[in-house]
Amino acid sequence: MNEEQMARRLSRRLNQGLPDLDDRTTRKLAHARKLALARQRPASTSRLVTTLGGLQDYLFSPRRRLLLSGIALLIGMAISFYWHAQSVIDDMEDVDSALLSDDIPPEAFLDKGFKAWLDSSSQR
Amino acid sequence: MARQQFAALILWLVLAATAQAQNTVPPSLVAIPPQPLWRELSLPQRQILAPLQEEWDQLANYQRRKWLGIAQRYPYMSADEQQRMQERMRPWASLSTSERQNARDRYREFNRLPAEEKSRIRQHWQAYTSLPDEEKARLQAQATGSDAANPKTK
Repeated sequence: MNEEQMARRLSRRLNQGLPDLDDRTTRKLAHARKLALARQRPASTSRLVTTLGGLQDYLFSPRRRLLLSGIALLIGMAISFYWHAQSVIDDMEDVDSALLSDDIPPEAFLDKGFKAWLDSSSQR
Repeated sequence: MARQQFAALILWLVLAATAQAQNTVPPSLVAIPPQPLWRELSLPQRQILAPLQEEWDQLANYQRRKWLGIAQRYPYMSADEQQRMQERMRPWASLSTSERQNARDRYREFNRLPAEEKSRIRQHWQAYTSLPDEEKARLQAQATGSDAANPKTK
């Protein structure tokens, strides 16, 4: 038996004796209910709760959730792109600073004729 | 409105990544933020990077960032290295992206060779530069011909 079924059975059992209650008890019960409701209302309408609830509705509406996950994805992509780009640039900087200051000039690594000549001379 | 801007941003990212990919550089390089213009550089930076003054403002952000990194290392190089660097900056920057990338790849291979092999290649380069121009042209034509016949063997 789940909670809802239990509550329904309980309230049915409580309602059974209602017609037999005397006026005094009915009035007392009505008063108690009024008091309870009066106390409950300010709590449920407190500004903080309303604001938080509104914020939650605003942030977690299906459209917002889609937008937020899109933004999170873009931020993640930007961070990983940036991290990767930085490591590519660091590597380029290492190679270029060594290549451009080496006593063998960059042309040696660009000249196809030199490569062919080198290959043929190492086969000889 | 917000949705349109969002779509435009994604489109820009994709287009920028495609444009970079066609230049054989990693697409992630679009993530490098804008780098200083020539007039925004410090005096020592301008002195070191002087050979690049004319094209500096047209260089891509990642290239400017790389050159600024090289400028930071420059004071720690020997006088000979500094001179070679100054002479080679401009011709290097005027190469195409794929030419630079090929040269880097071959230089990396060169650096992995044993010391004797490296000094042999250095000596061969000296000998190669003293070959007659016709001989160099013949070797280049031969290499280009074999590249065209067998593009995988670079």
